[in-house]
Amino acid sequence: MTDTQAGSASAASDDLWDAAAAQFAIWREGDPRGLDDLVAVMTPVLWQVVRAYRVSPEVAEDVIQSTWLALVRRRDSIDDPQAVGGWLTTTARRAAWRASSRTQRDVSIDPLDLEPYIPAACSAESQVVEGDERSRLWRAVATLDQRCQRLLRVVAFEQRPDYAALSSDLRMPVGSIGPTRGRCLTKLRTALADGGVL
Amino acid sequence: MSEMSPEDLLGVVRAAWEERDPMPEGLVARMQEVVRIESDLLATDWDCELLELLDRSEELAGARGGSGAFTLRFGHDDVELLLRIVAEGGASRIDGWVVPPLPMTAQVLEPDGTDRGPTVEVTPDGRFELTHPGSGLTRLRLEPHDGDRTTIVTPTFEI
Repeated sequence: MTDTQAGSASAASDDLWDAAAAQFAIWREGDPRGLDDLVAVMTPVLWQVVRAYRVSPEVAEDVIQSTWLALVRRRDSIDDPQAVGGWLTTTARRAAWRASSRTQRDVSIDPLDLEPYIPAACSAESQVVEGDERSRLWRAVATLDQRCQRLLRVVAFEQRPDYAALSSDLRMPVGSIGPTRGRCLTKLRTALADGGVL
Repeated sequence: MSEMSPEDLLGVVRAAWEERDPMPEGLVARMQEVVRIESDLLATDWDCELLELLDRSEELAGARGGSGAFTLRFGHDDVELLLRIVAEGGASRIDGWVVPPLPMTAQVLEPDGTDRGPTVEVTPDGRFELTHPGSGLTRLRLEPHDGDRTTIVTPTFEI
């Protein structure tokens, strides 16, 4: 991936929050299609944020459903449409954190956990250069420890997440989130370079 | 090539996870259905408080294999509801436990809030059984006899 492509991904993300705000406003004015579109735009983001807490796909879907039900019931408590994206991700993240802290005692092995240990030869058959590029990106992300993976996944998919709220959900002191984020990004940059992506 | 900026790196993280752990197919359509039904319900005089799912656990199948039982725990204010759901060979049942054990009835609903089965009384120790709850997407309503306490309803879950 080139710098330009990565840059366009983040630009698309900004567009996404604006789209969510516009659709929320349309819904609040009485048009249910606004809600339909809001669900279409934000559900993929909620999936990524919730799954960062290593809950099963079933629990992730339950958490996302609860989040949407809460929005339908508490719509009028959100004054500024621009805040709807943050409200949704924060609500989902809280619920995911509660679900994960309750189920951690009987955690099962998520196939994703094993990916970093599967020999690279498994994907060597990939004939398509683009596919190989993507798997190299993934291998770089997969070299990060779990704490870095979770923090970066949450930060990457949320819009300017509130560090105070993150600190309780990630079990990290609020003052260490910024520095940890920096260290995790440095590790990722190194892993990408080692993997020949840069 | 210049060094990747933090924003570029977060773009890599997004791309990697979207590729590796994509949202399941049909999730958006299911969530659109959920919000449509809930909006329609709220537009009527359906006066219920929503229970929040606190916990979900699958029971290990064990030696018998495929017991198909799971437990859901819901909460709202001071009320907690535990459901053990068993679906085995076409038959299903729900065992429920409410804390605190208030005099109330329990009833299985369709996702759109219509009745799907008889009301059963919750016992003085907070337990109830629903022996033929059916299958597919399901909700459950708890209606206290004390009219001052609000009726509570679960989100949709699948049997």
